[in-house]
Amino acid sequence: MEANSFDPVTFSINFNFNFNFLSSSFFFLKSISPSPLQDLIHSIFKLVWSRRALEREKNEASDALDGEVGAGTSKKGRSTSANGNALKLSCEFLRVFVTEAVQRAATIAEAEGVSKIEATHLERILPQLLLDF
Amino acid sequence: METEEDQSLADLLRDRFRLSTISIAEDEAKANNMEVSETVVACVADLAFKYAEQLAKDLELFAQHAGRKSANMEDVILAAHRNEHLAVSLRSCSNELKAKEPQSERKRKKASKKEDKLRVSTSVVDIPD
Repeated sequence: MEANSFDPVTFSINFNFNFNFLSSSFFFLKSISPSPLQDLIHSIFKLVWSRRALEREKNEASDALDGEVGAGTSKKGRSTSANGNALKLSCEFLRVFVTEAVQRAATIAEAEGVSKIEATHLERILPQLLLDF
Repeated sequence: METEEDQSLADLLRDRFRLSTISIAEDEAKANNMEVSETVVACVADLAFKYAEQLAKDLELFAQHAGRKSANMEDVILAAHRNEHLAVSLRSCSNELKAKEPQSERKRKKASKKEDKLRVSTSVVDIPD
């Protein structure tokens, strides 16, 4: 198949088409409680944030060596946190990302008349997917 | 030593995240009556993990910009601002979450048994505050 050719028109059509999917899948998925996933995402966020906090501390330390500039930035050293609803929403966000990827790839595969999603299908939807998120 | 621990924790989290992503992706494919090749699922899982990390950075920056130390739902919606459809669906979801708030206690009690089991399995990766 001519899967490798880049066709902006098809991409834009797919874009419009797939967002009909998005709203329906979104409401469907919301009914499932993503609580273990939520804990997981919380842990991931915490890890990223604590890493960044450490980095900032290091930078501040080197700044202090340079010339005591960071006197008022000590409160920035603490890492960020998130509230429960924000985490739920982030879960939904990431879920939509994954489902969109699969559904868009499925549309391409369907158009080719194949019943299995292959890497080439993902390759075709990837640019637009990354632009959309 | 700390960085080593950090790395192993990061790997653990990444693998757990990949597993959940894989199950979501496979369910989604089933719902579409499609098969998915393993490479595609793995790719999507990896993408989603990288995206989650990026999202964490974005949320932190947004919260800091607003002068807050904790990220809230507005920050998440702002992270999706590039895509109107997505922002709209996230906003409606956030409104529902807000509306659900007072009832959430009861629901949690109902589902607590199930959740406890799952919590035990996830508690290994919990980071203390």
